[in-house]
Amino acid sequence: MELLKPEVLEKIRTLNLRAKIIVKGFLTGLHESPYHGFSLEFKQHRPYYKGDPINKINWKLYARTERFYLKKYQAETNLSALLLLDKSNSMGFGEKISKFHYARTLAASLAYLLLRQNDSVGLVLFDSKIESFIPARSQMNHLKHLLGTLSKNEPSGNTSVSDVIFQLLPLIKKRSLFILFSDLLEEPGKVIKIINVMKAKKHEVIVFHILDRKELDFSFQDESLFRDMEDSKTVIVDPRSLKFLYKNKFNEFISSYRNGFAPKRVDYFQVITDVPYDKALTEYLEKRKRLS
Amino acid sequence: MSFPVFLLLFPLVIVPVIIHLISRKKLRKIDFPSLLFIVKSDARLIRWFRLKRIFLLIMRIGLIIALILAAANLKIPFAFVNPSETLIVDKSPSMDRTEIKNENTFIIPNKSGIPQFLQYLKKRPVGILITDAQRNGFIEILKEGERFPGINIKKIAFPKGNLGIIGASATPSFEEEKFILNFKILNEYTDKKKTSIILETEGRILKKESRILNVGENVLSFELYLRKGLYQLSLELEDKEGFVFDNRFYFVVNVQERKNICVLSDAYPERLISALSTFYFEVRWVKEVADVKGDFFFVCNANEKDELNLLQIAIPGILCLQGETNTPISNKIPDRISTIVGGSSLNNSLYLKNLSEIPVRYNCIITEGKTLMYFENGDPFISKIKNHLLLPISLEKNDLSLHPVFIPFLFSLINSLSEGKTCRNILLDEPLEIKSSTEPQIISPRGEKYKPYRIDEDNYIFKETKECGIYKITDGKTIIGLAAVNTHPSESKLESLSDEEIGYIFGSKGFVNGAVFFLFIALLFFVLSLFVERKM
Repeated sequence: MELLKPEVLEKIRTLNLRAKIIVKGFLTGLHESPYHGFSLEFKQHRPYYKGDPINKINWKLYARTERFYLKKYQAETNLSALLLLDKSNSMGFGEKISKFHYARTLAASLAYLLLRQNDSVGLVLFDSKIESFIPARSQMNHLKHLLGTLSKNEPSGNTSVSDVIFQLLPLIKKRSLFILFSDLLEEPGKVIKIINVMKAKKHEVIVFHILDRKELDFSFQDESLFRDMEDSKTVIVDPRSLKFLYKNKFNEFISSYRNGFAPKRVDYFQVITDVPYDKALTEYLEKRKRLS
Repeated sequence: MSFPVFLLLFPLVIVPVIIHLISRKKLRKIDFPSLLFIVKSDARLIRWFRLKRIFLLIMRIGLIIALILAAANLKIPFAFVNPSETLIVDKSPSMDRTEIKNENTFIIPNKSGIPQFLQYLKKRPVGILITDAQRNGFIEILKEGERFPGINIKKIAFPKGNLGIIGASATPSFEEEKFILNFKILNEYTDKKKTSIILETEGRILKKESRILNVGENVLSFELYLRKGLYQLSLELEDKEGFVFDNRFYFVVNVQERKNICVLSDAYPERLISALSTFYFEVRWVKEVADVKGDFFFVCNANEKDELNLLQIAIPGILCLQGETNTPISNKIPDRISTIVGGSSLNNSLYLKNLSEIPVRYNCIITEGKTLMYFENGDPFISKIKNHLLLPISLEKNDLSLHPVFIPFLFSLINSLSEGKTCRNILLDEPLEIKSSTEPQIISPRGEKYKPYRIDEDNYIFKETKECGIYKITDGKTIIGLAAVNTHPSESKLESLSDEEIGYIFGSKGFVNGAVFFLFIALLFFVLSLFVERKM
């Protein structure tokens, strides 16, 4: 599990490898199969035609009928997941690992995990507008496309989760699972409102609220010039004298999300960037189990 | 003393600005996503953080400026006193003795009260000055009120000039004989003034007339014929412009019976006898000691042979010594010229004061008896043995007898010997000396009773002459003397306040020393900047 620590994994250059390590490491730790409920189901037999792979022939049926038949399967799952990753400037905050990098790795890991389970996965990268949109696909080679897009992007722009989801909703016709990675630095009321709209459209929503430890405990020491990462406003403060008041305000902010999502059964997970990825994956799995 | 050269250091104010900019540059910069929550946490605190550095900058600049100004020691306007704390009321007679009773009130009784007033001002800031500005200094202040922005000067009257009685003198007065009373009046207006003059005694008007007073000093003479007794006289001027000043002057006079004087001399003392006879005395010339009779005797030139015999005579007399003998009373001294400077109570007499400015040639020193007056070099001028006065001068060989004040001087001497009733004309705060065999009592013009301080067997002194008017001296039953108390002539002379006086009263010419003030301001800035820096 030491390997799954964010700061250790950050040293691995490729996102692909990082995702695989996370998922495999995570799976190793599980006591039950992650494939539960995800297996392929037999639909019907069809006659063998020249060129069909021989290993797909149902030899038991051949023994009974002396004709070559192939089994035809139908995927049991119809899950379509869309990863919504906030790439605004505020996600660039973090000392050892930025919130964006953490969220990106987590998103990549989930994409890998989902694709391994034959779920279709799409990706939306956004700040105040949609920057990249990759529709959901279930093929494994789709992963390469997803990871490539994730790797290319770095934090920029301002956050506007509510606007982005508002733009996105008309594009998603199929009932989907939305997995949102964001620091949600926006008016909670607006975000909660648009998430409720998603729920009303029968979509499932998982929110990973990505936070840095310093944002939570405001553990700065000396008087410093603080500059907002999005609108570049500055203030000079002595953090020690403000720490208590700041934490109160920030906890109020988190509570407003937690309390706002709970009535609509939106799964809200607060993820701090110094927490190993597998914990986040466990959260996801629990949720997926409930869905199945 | 100012050092304006230090003002060249003003560019140093850039130092705190540079420190401010450097410290801002050195400040750790943190890109932070949740700035909104910092700003929301405590808006006042955030504002304070923003202002704190500006405050510090301002205070450091202020500190540098204050230190430079302190070094330059500039004078700053005297506008920092609280004018409401002290009320100063000029209570000189020109203010008509209006009483203002307040614990913050300070009164200037007259010019002699100024030192006391200044002592008072040293301890307290100056407040409101209420005056009729009867001194040129005050007039200047009123004209240049802007010089003293901390002072609220309230004008009661603004004089264009001044009219005041600055002195009085009188010839010796004898019953039913012509008595001349002179008053000296100063007109400081730029033109002649017509004024009514009233001379009265104890409510009875003796003279009332209209006079035109020329610019400068005027002498008003009144010829009076009075009966024997003590008289309380007062002269009042009325100014038609309604301007009230020290227009009342008090004077007391003791009208006596004419005295019979016997002059003992070998030769006929023509000059002396003619001088004495004119107004004052019935004079008779005798050659022999045995023939001396009358109320008083006078010896022109006493020699050793006569001296002891003369001292045995019962009636009082004055012995002018020839100085050619070598007796215990006088010894032979070459003629010398000296000036009389006064001594005992006699020196307050009007005539003796005039005499004191005259060089006197004398030729012997009296070594016995009680000395009443001294020469400038300390030698006795008048000594008293029993009821005889001894003068170490020969009137025959001395010009003193020709001096116009000599006869009044003799009159004073004779009065002092005859121990008549006390009759004194003095100034405010001047001690009053009283001779009395019984313990006297003083009654002030307002009727308050005082007991004078006893100096020796028959001499008393009274120092509480705090108001103008007539003080009565009684032995408990009858009046044994009078004293007229008047303001100092300087009240009328409109002497300017000296720079020192103005400086004491209103600060140094309306300004105060900048060094101490700016050092205080610098200290204030320093303490404040430390406080601001430490607090947050």
